[in-house]
Amino acid sequence: MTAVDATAGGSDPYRLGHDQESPTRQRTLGHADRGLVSKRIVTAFGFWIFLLSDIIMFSAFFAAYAVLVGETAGGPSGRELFNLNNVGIETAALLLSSFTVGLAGIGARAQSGSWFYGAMTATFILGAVFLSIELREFASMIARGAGPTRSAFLSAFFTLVGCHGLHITVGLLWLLTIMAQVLAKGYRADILRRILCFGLFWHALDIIWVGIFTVVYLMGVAL
Amino acid sequence: MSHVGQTHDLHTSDTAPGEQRIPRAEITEQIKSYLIGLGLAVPLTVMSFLISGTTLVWGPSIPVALVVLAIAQMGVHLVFFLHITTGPDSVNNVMALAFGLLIVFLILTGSLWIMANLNRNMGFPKETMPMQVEPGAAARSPIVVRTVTANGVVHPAATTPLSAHVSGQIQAVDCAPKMQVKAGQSCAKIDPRPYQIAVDRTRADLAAAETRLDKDKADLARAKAAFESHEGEAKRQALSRKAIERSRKAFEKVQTQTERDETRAAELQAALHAAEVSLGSTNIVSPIDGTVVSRNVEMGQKVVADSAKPLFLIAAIPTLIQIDAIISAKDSGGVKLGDKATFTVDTLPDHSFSGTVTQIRPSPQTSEPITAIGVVISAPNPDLLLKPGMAATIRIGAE
Amino acid sequence: MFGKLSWAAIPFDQPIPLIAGSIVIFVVLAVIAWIVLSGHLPYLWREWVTSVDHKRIGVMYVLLGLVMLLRGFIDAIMMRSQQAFAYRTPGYLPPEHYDQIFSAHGTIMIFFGAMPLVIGLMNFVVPLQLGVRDVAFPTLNSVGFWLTATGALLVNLSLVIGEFSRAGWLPYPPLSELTYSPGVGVDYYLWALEISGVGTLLAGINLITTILKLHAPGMTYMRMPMFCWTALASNLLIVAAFPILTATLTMLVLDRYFGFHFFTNEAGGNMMMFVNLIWAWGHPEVYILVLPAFGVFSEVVSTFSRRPLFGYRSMVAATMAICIISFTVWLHHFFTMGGGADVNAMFGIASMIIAVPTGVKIFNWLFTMYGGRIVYSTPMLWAIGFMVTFVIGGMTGVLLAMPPADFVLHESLFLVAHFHNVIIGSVLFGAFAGYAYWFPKAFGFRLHEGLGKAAFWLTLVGFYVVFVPLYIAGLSGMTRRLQHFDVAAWRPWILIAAIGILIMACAAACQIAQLVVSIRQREALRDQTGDPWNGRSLEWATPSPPPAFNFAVLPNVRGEEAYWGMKQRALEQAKLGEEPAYVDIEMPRNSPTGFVCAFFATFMGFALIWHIWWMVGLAALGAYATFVVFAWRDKDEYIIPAETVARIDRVNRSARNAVLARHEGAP
Repeated sequence: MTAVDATAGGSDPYRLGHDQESPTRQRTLGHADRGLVSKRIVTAFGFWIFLLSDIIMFSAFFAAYAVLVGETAGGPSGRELFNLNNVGIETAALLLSSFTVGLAGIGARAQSGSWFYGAMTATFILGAVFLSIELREFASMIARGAGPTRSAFLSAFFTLVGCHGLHITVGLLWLLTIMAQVLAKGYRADILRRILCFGLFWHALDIIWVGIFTVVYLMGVAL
Repeated sequence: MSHVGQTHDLHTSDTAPGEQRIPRAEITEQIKSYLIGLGLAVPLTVMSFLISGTTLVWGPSIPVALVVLAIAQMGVHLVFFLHITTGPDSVNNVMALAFGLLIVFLILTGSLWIMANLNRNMGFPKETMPMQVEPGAAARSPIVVRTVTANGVVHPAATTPLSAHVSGQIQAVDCAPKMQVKAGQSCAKIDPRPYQIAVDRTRADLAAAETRLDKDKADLARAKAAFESHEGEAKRQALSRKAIERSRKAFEKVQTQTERDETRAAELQAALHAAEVSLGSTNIVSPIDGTVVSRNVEMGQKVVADSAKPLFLIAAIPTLIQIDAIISAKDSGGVKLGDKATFTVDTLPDHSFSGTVTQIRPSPQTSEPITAIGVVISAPNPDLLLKPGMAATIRIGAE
Repeated sequence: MFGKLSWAAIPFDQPIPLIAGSIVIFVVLAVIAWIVLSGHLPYLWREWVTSVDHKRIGVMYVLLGLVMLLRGFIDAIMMRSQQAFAYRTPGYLPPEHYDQIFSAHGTIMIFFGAMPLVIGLMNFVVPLQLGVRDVAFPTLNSVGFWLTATGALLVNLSLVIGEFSRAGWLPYPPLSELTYSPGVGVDYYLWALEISGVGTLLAGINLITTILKLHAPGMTYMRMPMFCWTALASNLLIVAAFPILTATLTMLVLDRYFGFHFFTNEAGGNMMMFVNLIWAWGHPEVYILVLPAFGVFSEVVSTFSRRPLFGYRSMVAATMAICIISFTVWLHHFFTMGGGADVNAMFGIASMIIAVPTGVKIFNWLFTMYGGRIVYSTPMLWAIGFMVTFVIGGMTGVLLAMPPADFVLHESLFLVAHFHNVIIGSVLFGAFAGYAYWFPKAFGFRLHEGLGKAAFWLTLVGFYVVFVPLYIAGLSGMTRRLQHFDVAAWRPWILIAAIGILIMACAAACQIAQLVVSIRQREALRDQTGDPWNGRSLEWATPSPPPAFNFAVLPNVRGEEAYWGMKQRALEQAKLGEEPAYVDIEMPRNSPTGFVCAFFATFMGFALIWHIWWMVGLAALGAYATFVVFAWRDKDEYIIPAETVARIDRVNRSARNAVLARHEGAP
């Protein structure tokens, strides 16, 4: 398709630089001078921006936790409550699930049913393991009188870790929905885009978990 | 948005975040990146757990090590799982990530710095706030309708503050919260050296003053003897008036000097006494038997004499304790003053204590409609088994 | 069954909200009845409610913003009049009501007045200026708008069902905790903002992706119009700051609903932390509002000085510098809370530093005007008014940025006058300038110039008559948010301010009249070619209003000021470029997803406020179902055939050819 041309350089009376025709400049400016990019890139980039905003939200909860970590109001502190064996299993489950979700992405792009469904199922199971251990931990803490209403430290703990758990829950729901969609409609382009976004989401949750288990659990016990 | 006729040649456009740049390669090729990522992440994670759980690493450096390992793990995720690279095709993704990380850094460091300053300047948090109580555990409702259950916390009686009466640098801290202390037990020590030096100096000054005083006394005796003998001679008119004046003046001079030196010695004596008291005060001791409720001092901290903030709060172990409990308003109908209450504490689950309801009052947290009532239970504590801060599970009512 | 909701929630015993609410309900019902009875509902549903077209959504945002601006302005009139009456008397607004009014005034003006205005302008203009057909995520755009509308609806519902927050537009604990605000007011506030915050975040993600990833061929970053750069910076701030707001309000929600202890008096809560976190959002928020206004002024000043913008690169650098530095100044909102000298000094210095890039921008605008041939149209008047007003406000801001001065003046009317000075001077003037500038593009006819100029002058004069006395009263010691006062020295200033608000009310009336008159005279004011102002950027290359697909073929951009170059060449050659080869165009389908999502969000928010738990669950389920239904659709685009494209484009080409024929030879 032809386009309406414009004059070159006629609108730059102040000569504000830019050697517009230089090849190196054209190349390093990425796509912008070539115009349109694929939907896959646009969608994934938009989701990437959303994930960064989510990480900033988590950092606000982290900041609150760090400020309130000493406010146990005479109640139990992290050292008395945290069971590092459970945390270890949770971490292993989530790390492995990050690996399997990567496999699922590869399987989807290769349109291989066994890779895709197998890896997604494994991801779901590992995520469910993580969630069940975390829920049991919360329940036992509440039963011992160390619930979120006991002290500011516990409020911050339950909120930070609980928010991450909520994201995992939403992720598992999303996972099932995607599997259902692939089953119903196959490896369509828009569904492949969603699988890419889901992978980004799941990896980001594991990155946040690294922060949580280091700052909340390991430092809570060691310091 | 029209993209009719566009090609999707990966080599001439950006990469989506999360995408690998291996077009149409075999599955095994693509898995390699994830395997490497997993292979790096697992040992880093294991190291983190080992560092925190054991004494492999020198104590004070544990947080630094954990942070470094966490950053390494996040980096592994970004590179091997999310495929964020530094190539020109990934510029937007990297710039977005850098922006996000900058904001996270500003929020975390900014908030921590600001809150640390605010807390310190505004006397936050306040240790003497009354303990928060759990709302009544109505779920564990008893079979006997008339019994009401609640949770509460054993109240300390008045707390005695322990402050520094001299300034200096804390050299040792020997008491921690929940520790039992006896009267006279040392809880912290301020570096005594400056005070010791003051004591020594004062003592030396005093010694010198006393030596001078002795000399003065000897001079005085001599001058007095001289004067009296001159006086005697004056009576016999054997000496000129001038000579008598001279010896009298000398006597008076020595007298004044002696008085001055006596005063000086007395002052030094007092100063020595004060310096010794100060030296003694570098040892911060508990004035009573009791439990340490809170500690607000650390090794190496510089303290100021008689500052408003006490270094420790000690609670006498009372032989009569009080528990503040909250029960829900609907249960409160059956509770009246004088009702018996039995309770157990977490650390002694098999020991049943008993007390009586001595006060019924509005809960400190009122909201419309009123849902909770505050109840105070007093109980004797003859064996001193109940200590302040313990959580109690209470049953009120006729059995 | 209905939680805390009962007939007692309706203010039968308070005449003012009762009457005001009844009038609003009556007007709304009348408008809906007229729409349905005159058969406009299908058109409205098809073309506006379910539209995913960025132009339609932009117009709806601006409409929402203008209506809410009016509501917030009425709150302002009530406050000024109450203070004018209440010298040694109780006035006509009891404190419980007055407190709700100043809280609602701030909340509505910032979140539902200024934000929609600014986001609406960006939504409408950015894709046109970039030379593309729509934003990156059209349906998400619609969802974002309708969620914002949900928030506005909830806040306005509080007038008639229940009450609004009394804790100010930023609800500091412990006043906003359940103990001291046991009613539903703070809950209305919290859920309205949580829901509309999601909408704003979606708009932010959308516009960043659009600006960074969607361009016409040849439109590199350094060829984008300045408005797109400021839009980018503003949306980066949205994406960075709004998560902090969400997190902090969530902590307050958890305190109120579940008895958590983030900000309570006991069990270790720290209410200073609320202030810290909320202002870490609050300061970037004001830059979110002001940067697009700066962008509008860049466009308006260059167009109406008939010169390219001076110092484009330094403008870009200054914009991005403001974007980053705005995240390092937030403590200046609580110098007096006790951070100490070190902390106060650092943030005070940073607050002064941020004035530098702003000054760079002002000088660039002035240099653009210098040597130009200025046209004093309504948008240009708003721009000049902005330069004077904003600079004065900025200087009082730098004054307040010094902690010692702030210790004397904090929470006084001086502070109130300062922030109104900068916000009205920049955001309001910018919104009105953008409204006047792009109205012809959106609707195909210009606004009546005379009434526009009258509105400008009345606003400018009225503004100073209101706020200069408030500066003086603040220096004399009058604090903010006073329901009554008894210091004689302040009285004359409060009375003058009340006169000023009447002048501003006349200005508002002129704005409304301008719209009515322009619609009635629209044929006389018709924009024939799509370029009524002799513009320089790509949106003026389209007809007015642009067709759904914006450009028949995407333009090939060769230099800065893409459209100006094209136009000069056409004028030189006395003819347009060749007719392009038209092809079919794929456009995204309309979708009710946004509206339906917001429908469920409204019920969920209402149910959360009133503790109707079964309704919360149902609404959440409905929202999830909406998402799944949307994800399940098979056809998300429709095709505009090439003949239709050709027909629409040829109409515009003939109109432009006619103009060329009239202006043959003259530049």
